[in-house]
Amino acid sequence: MDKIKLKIDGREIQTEKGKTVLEAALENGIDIPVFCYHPCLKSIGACRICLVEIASPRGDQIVPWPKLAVSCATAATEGMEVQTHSEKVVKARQGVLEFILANHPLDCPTCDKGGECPLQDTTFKYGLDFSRFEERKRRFITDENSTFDDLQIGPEVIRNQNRCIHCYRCTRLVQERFFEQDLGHYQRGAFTEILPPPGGEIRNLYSGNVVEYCPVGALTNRDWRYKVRVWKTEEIPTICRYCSDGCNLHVSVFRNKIYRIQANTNWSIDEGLPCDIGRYGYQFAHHDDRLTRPMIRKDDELVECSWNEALTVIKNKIDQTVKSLGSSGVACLVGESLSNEDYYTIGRFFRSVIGTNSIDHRIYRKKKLSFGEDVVKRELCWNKLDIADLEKADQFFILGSDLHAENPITALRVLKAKRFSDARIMLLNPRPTHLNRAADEEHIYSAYSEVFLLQGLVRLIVEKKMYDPDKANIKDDEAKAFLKETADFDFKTVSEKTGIAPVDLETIARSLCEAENTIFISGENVRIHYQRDPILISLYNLAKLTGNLNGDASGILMLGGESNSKGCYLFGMRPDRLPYDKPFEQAEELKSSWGEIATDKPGYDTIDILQKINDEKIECGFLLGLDAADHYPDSEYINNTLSKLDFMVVADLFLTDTARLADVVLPISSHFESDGTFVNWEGVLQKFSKSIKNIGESMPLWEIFSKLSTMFDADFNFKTADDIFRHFAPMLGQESVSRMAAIPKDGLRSEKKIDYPDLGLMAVKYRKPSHEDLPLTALSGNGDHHFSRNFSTRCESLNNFLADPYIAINDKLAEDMTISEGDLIKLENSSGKIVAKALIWQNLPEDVVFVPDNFIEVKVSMIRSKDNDIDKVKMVKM
Amino acid sequence: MALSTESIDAMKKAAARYPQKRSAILPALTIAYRQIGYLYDDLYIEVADAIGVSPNEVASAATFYTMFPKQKVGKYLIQVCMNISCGLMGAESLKEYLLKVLNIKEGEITEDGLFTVVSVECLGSCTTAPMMQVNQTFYENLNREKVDKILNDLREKG
Repeated sequence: MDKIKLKIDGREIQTEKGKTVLEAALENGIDIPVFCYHPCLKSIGACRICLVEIASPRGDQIVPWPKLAVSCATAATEGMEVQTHSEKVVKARQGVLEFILANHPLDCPTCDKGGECPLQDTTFKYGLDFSRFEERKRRFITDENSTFDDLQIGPEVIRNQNRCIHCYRCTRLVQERFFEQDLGHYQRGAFTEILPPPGGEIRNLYSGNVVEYCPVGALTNRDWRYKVRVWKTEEIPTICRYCSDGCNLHVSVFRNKIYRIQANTNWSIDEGLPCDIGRYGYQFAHHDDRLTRPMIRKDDELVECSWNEALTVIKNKIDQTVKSLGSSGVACLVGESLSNEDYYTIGRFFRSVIGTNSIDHRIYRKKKLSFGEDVVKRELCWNKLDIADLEKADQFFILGSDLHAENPITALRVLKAKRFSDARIMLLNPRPTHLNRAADEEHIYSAYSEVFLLQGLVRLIVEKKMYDPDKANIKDDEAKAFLKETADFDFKTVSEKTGIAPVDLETIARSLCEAENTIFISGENVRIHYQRDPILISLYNLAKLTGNLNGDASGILMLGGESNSKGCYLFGMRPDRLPYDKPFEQAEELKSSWGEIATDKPGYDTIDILQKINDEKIECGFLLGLDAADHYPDSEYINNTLSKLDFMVVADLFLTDTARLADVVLPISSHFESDGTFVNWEGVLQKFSKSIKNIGESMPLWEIFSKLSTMFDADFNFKTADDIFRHFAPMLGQESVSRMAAIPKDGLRSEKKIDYPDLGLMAVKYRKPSHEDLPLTALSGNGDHHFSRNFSTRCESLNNFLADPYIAINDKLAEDMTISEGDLIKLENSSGKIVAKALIWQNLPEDVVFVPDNFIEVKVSMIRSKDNDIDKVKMVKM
Repeated sequence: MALSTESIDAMKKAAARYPQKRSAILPALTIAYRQIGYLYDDLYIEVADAIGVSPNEVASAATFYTMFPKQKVGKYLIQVCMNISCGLMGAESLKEYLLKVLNIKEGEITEDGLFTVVSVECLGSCTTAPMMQVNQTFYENLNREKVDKILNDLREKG
């Protein structure tokens, strides 16, 4: 990057060529007031408050510019001399403010923005103490009977147009960055109004940002307004508990209650633009459903008890089980959104105190993986790229991922690449997803035909020799062998099986070969796919063939999962791995601090654990932060299995379906009530801080297991989360970080990222899925503004976007069956049935139905069976 | 559907002329205005569908331009220029006269459905002030007699 030198307020400053005067000043701590400028947006120079005085060199003279310039839209150039606070500038700013305030109601005492309002602060600093404007101010009356001109323009956004200063940050964010069209400016001049389109409302997934970045109180939040004054709250940094992107957030706390969440900008991850799920998804913490005391089963009923009683029962039962069945009679399943400190303590407790390795988190899988597990698990699941790298790509190949709903912030980077460097977005999914608003190509393939699609594309590229042999590093005989092996994946068959026209297949193949840097993104649909491994290997083939395997802005990303899916894996929540993903052979180091651990053989994974429970080889089960009865894709099987357990402990925030089956229920604290760390999908370890006191008698899991350890004469002595962090800090491989407090503000990045090995082209086999002979394929995913179960549906604000479960069906199918929107329909197969309101989606394939799996009332697991790869259903109108 | 098939076809044809669909918003709105006579919320949605952009973009553009009437108007929309030159030459009294002889208030429609009078900013015909525009036609160097004649002619045309 070229560097240039300029002088601002007499200070020599160095900056990169291409930056604006404003950016150069802000970088160096020189304050220039702004309203319309936002670092995420292109400058429009609308508000004029950032005026500065500039002189630039001409020949050997420094010549002052004839008039003041807006610093946000003026490029910094070599030798420039800038005055940001000269008398002329201050006077000009006063003038600008006088114009802005001419129509501003100055109703600060009743305005929710007061105390954190850029207009208020700037006026305080520069404004005159009188106004020459004596005329009547403009007023947008929304209700003749009210003196307040508030208008609700979306489930969570309330507008007061009188206060608007026309900076257009809101509409620019929505249109430029979010690629949405649910907010625009209407009319003109002083009478410009911010409004959603006729008949619509602002309800996009990032809508909360327009409130946060409004520089006045024109847009306020329904949930937060008028509850507490901002200067009374304390802001505490936290990390989002929902998806695996790991947005940094600020919690506003007043008298031990959370009132709102705002962005805590981390430029390398969220850019200060979190989605609404993270922003409003805190409300579960204070929900009435929170468990406050331990419960124990007495006479077939769960009754509240003391911690001491609950832990004693657990201790006795563990002893009893170990005596009768050995330590392998105890097993543990964990959820994916607990903290690393929890995982470390859980792992230590089960491995060293009890001596069992049967710990797993992969509850979503029906069957064991079939082939190439090691390659896939060790290499492909390790995402090499960072979120920021996405900006540099020219093309995205998104397969089997509802990226918008699974990783909203990663989706935002994909959109940024599209907006600022015109990257191409190719969407390939079995159902339409909302990212299609910005996609260059969207192809809906027949459900579960991914292997045909990918291997077909690989074969097509090889057959037509579209690839660059040097980039792909493939020899002719290797290509020939591959073609021979994949003879049944010919063009015609692939097109038939996937339902994608031959000409489209060829276009996809060509654009993959032509683009410089392509990023392949895959998500939940693939993660839970019965042929996950062949799909990932085909993706590997495709990336290798097109030279996109190990680039700086190309590669394969396997996304989806929850806030700490990666931490869960890194901190040893697998039957065969120790913390920091160490194999059993490297246990020596751990033994020195943990004491003896059983490393002779791996424990059981989820599938085996369930089997062993049925075989009565496991009698004591722990389900920690996991609603297994709802998450496991076969509700009948898991309910029967879990009820066979002699003793079952569930630790959760709510009395979930799983907890109802338990013998002991332990109330755990949310991540707002403890310090801790999460690892996002990039592998960045980030810290969250305790913001409120524990609700009721709840405790974080690490504290529970630390307490339990003392009963087993193996006192871990973990008093704080930091005590645990200190234990595993050496494993993170960064010497400077030995305490939680030393984690950098933008997270601890693991520097070591291993390149994918060159494994050649690997032909995969398509296995016909087992399924019932019924007409419709049921797919599931996140509903609008929801993520996972039990949490988002307990947040009032998120329910304001979508409160009721639905079953989405194709319009033609609806017409054939005379179903109109809102009618109750039933999906049924031999496993069970679910009933919900119909929602009509025009471009959903005719043989597919979609059910959001966030709602407790409608369990998708009811229509799933572990014996079938695909869940087929029939539909009945009620 | 308020838009005729011819209008929709014309809009699609207009949209095909531009590399970006949103460039066709103003041509499409003009087509809609010529057919319907004024613009309203539901019409924005129809226009948006016809050229494949979002209703938000269409409505934003439409409400920005005051030249598109947003309420039902008479068959002849009389726009009286009130800007400086016309103002000096008696635009105000000319407008009052029009309203009086037509017996309406500004923006209203006469009982026969023929006329609506509105005041507008400069129409670029300052040398011939005062002036007014009736639908697409300029009438210049006006006085009361001329106005009477114009109204009578239009009434005859019906």
